[in-house]
Amino acid sequence: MAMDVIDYKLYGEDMQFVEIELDPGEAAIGEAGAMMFMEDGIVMDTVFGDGSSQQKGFWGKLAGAGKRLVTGEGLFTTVFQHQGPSGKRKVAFAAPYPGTIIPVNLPDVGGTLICQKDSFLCAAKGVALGIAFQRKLGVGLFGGEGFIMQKLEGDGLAFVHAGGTLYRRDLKPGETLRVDTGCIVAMQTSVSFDIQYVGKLKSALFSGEGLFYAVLQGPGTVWLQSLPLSRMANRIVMAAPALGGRSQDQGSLLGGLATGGLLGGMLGGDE
Amino acid sequence: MQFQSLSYGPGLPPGGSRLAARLDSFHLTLTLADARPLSVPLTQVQVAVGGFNDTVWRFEWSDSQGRWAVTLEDPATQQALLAQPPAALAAALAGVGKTQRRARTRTRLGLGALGLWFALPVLLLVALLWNASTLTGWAASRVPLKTEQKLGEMVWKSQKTQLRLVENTAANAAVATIGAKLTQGSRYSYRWFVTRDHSINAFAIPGGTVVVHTGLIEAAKTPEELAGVLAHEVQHIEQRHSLRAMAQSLGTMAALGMVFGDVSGIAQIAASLSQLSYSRDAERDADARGLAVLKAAAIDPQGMVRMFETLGKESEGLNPPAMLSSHPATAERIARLKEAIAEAGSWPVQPLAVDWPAVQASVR
Repeated sequence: MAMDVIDYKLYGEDMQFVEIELDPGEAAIGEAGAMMFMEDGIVMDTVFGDGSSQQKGFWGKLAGAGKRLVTGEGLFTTVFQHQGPSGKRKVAFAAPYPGTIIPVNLPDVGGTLICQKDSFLCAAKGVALGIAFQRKLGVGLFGGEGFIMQKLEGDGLAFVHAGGTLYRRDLKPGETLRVDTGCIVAMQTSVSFDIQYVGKLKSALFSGEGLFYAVLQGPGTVWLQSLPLSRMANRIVMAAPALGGRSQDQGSLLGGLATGGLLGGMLGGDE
Repeated sequence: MQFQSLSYGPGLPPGGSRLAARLDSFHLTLTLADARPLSVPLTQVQVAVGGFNDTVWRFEWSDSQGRWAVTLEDPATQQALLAQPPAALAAALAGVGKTQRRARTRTRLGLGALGLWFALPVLLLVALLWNASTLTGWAASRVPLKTEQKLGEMVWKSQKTQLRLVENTAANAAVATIGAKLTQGSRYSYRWFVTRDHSINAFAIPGGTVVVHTGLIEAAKTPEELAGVLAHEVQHIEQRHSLRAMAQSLGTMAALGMVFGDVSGIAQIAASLSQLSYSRDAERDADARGLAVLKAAAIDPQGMVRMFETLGKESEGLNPPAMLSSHPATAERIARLKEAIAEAGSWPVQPLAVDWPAVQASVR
């Protein structure tokens, strides 16, 4: 399957947008609502499903659209195609909240990337958006990402967005990294994803780190975010007296209870 | 066996490199990017399962430069390797296959348990509704007689103010006499009342209170017709239909609350308590048992049939008697009743010794 090869440029530091340069006939797909601007000659079209040519026929498209719905995307995908006769034209996609956009060339990661729900921003036309269902019960319940993650497949370039600073870490065979459950953004399929109990009841209750770590084992590449959106939203709500300061940290059962309770409201305030 | 792998190791790109790998009886050979083969004896190779969802096999070994991993994700190749493993890896591959199967079983069990956990309240609700009559019967039977009488007294006190009771007439005596015949040997002590109301109706209050509208006495052509209605009402008390209805509505509320969260519970419970309309099933039950009592008291069952027919005619008009609102269709009740009478066969009948025209005159 031929993918469109696209050139891109990232703007900004921590509120980024990506500008994609399209040759005549080339196209990019974008997450609904992510488009920032587009130049003359680029035509926007909305397709059912994810616009990759992998899905043949009505049912294939319906299944693709259903998968998108499950991962929190819209039913439709917007395709931006350069239909002009010549020259390069640009279209830009902006990140929805402070964070970093990372370009991932899918062939460099073996053709498949598993990423957090909602983290997809845009990609070359032909990249298929699917779901990666988490089959490990414990990881689904306590891994911070839930049972459903997004799977990007294809030979092109895809752009993923997450909160804060994104950190790429290449794990050697057998190397393990323990990660806060909210901080995983993306990983290669070869990376093992599991959870581990923090080990001590005292830590589980009072460290504020939650009950479980996510354990990532190489070989393969993982991307981590320094600031999960939920954590930032949490701090904003805690700082907003009008909202009552009710809060819940991601992946932490008791932490949420404690700060949400009466006592937490008195002790946990950090205004 | 040849397969396409994503391989990691010293000098390879950190995201892995797509390389051709070959497994023969003694070696794993990797063809590096510059077509240079890298061969490692299988005795040094360890096999492990990993990756997202444990779908990836890793062939791992270490050399002087570091650790290598050759990953295999294609399930078809995995199956082929399981079917014909190289002798040196046979045990390791069998273990890997077993691990994968066990993980799949665990997933299925886990998801099943999770599904069951979420389905449990719904299942409970279904079971409750399915066995409603058994459960409510059991619950109602746990209520002590005293409590029931207290409850009945409360209801009676609230009802009493809205009734225009008729006292010390021939009708009171007739109702009490016929009622006594129908309640021989009962654990309840009955009280019989007549109220001035021209609708054809009678009602029972838990604990043994029966109220007859004068309209019913006027509409009945024989004392047997009155006896038919009384037999029916008495069975509502004997079978504790009110308590059952209460148990059912409370139980349903509780189950619904469990499944769908708070249904602003207390208000609804209060509402259902005040309504307490007997279900249609309870009416059919009272019909059938009432007929049995008529048989035991040697009273002509045709009276009951005729009373229902009168009710049916009445309800054809624009204003159906209030009594019918929570009851089964009269035609259906008559049909059922006739069937039950035919089934029971005829029994010796003793006419009721009541001066009916005098009774009717006393309430006019």
